Amino acid sequence: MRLRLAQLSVLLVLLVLWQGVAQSGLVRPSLLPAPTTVAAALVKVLGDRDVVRGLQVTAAEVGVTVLVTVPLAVALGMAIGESARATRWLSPFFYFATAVPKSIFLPLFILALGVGVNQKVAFGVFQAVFVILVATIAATQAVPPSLVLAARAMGARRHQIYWHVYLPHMLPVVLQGVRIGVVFGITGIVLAEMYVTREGFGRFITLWGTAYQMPELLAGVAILGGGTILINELLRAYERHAGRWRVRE
Amino acid sequence: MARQATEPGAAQPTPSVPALEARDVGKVYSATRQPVTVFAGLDFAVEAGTFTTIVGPSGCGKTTLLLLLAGLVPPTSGEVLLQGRPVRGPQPADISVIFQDANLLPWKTTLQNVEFPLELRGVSKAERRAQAAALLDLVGLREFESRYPHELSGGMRQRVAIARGLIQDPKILLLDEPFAALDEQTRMKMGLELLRIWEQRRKTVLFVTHNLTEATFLSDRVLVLGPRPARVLDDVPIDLPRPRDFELMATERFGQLRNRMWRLIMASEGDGALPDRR
Repeated sequence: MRLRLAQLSVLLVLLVLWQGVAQSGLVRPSLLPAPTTVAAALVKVLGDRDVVRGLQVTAAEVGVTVLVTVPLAVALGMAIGESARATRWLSPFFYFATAVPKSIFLPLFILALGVGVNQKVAFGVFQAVFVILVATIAATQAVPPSLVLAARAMGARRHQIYWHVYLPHMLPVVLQGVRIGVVFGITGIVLAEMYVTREGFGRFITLWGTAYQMPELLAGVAILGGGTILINELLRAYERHAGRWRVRE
Repeated sequence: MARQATEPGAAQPTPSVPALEARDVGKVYSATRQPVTVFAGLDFAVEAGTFTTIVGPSGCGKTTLLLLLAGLVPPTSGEVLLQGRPVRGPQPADISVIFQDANLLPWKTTLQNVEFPLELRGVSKAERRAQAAALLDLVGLREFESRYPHELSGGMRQRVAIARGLIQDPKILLLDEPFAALDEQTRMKMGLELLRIWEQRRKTVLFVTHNLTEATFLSDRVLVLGPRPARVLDDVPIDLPRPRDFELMATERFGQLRNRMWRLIMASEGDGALPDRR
């Protein structure tokens, strides 16, 4: 999360350029509103109770998705990763699943679950689960048997081996999977909301987009983008902290 | 305490019960298509307080033997006795194992690594910290207590592993080629340091190496294993004076003892190779 001065100035230059282009009249203002206009829309939108309510719904869906996905993927990933045979048999499918663009399954989720919160969460889980699963399988297999043996020699019981050897060794890699998985999950939820929904922030994105409300639309992008970047960076900071023992090449 | 030892004829723990004993121990790995017999009918006993070394050609199963003695791997036949009791499973209260590559937990500092066995036992933080600090003094690494393993040299990591082994306060230390990855100089220094600690603490030490000079220099007694399936080819008492120092290695007796083992290992490998052909 170290925003360096150089990066900050790049951002500033881009904003100034944007403002200049918007004010010069080269582009239609309805297509490219000035940053100041977007900022004003941002304040207005965040003052709108319906929008805030939508944000809360989306945030809650993301929260539930994470709470469901992470334990599920980690438990399943460890169970598979601990068995060489299960890994050989099953992991190719999870690798394929991570590669498939999962948005194409959205209509299926709507048919099966309707358009409520369940469907949003289910689709979020579906988006997030494979990348965390694959990371956990890899992390489980990377735990050196020599460390487990040493811990056993020192009298570690099974749960102590998980807690003191597996967990710390796996954490950086699993967190990396979680970080990417959470971003995928948010993408899935917002996409599902944009597609068809009665509530949630994605609905407003679609509304503003179809109504040509560019300042509001860009403000929405800023809110979602900013929120996701924040979550990503927080997780990355934790990931770095948990992995600082790893020797850097 | 009502000691039964006063009653005549009662089974009494006598000093002659070996610290560790292998009785007719055999180990077969059958996971592969062709089952591998690592050893069959292995018999020996280690007396309490002695420094015994096991040598043998590479791949003869020395490490497997150590894991068996530590209760980390079950034998296929026969049994291992710890002070007369059969060993089933790890014995952290009686046996510490020190591995070839230290096996420190990379996310723990030196101090935390040494504390780890006590952490597993649920000893309070203050208590285990005090014990770990004292042992780091013993191995001369107190000033490195907050370093991580990757910040230490190979020799230092191995000293941390020794301190971690000692904090278990075991009766027996099993060391599996602990200095094999170190350069010659560090290796000899570590050997002397181990002897110093052993003379201070009087643990029973069982040391595994393929280095005959190291074996001769350190031990009271050397067991020479043959190639697979391994058995004890020779049991060599090392009648050299203690405390030992480098000068000892230049003596005739040292050379005789070492070469006796060397000849045996060469002959057992069956190709009559000369020692310096390696």
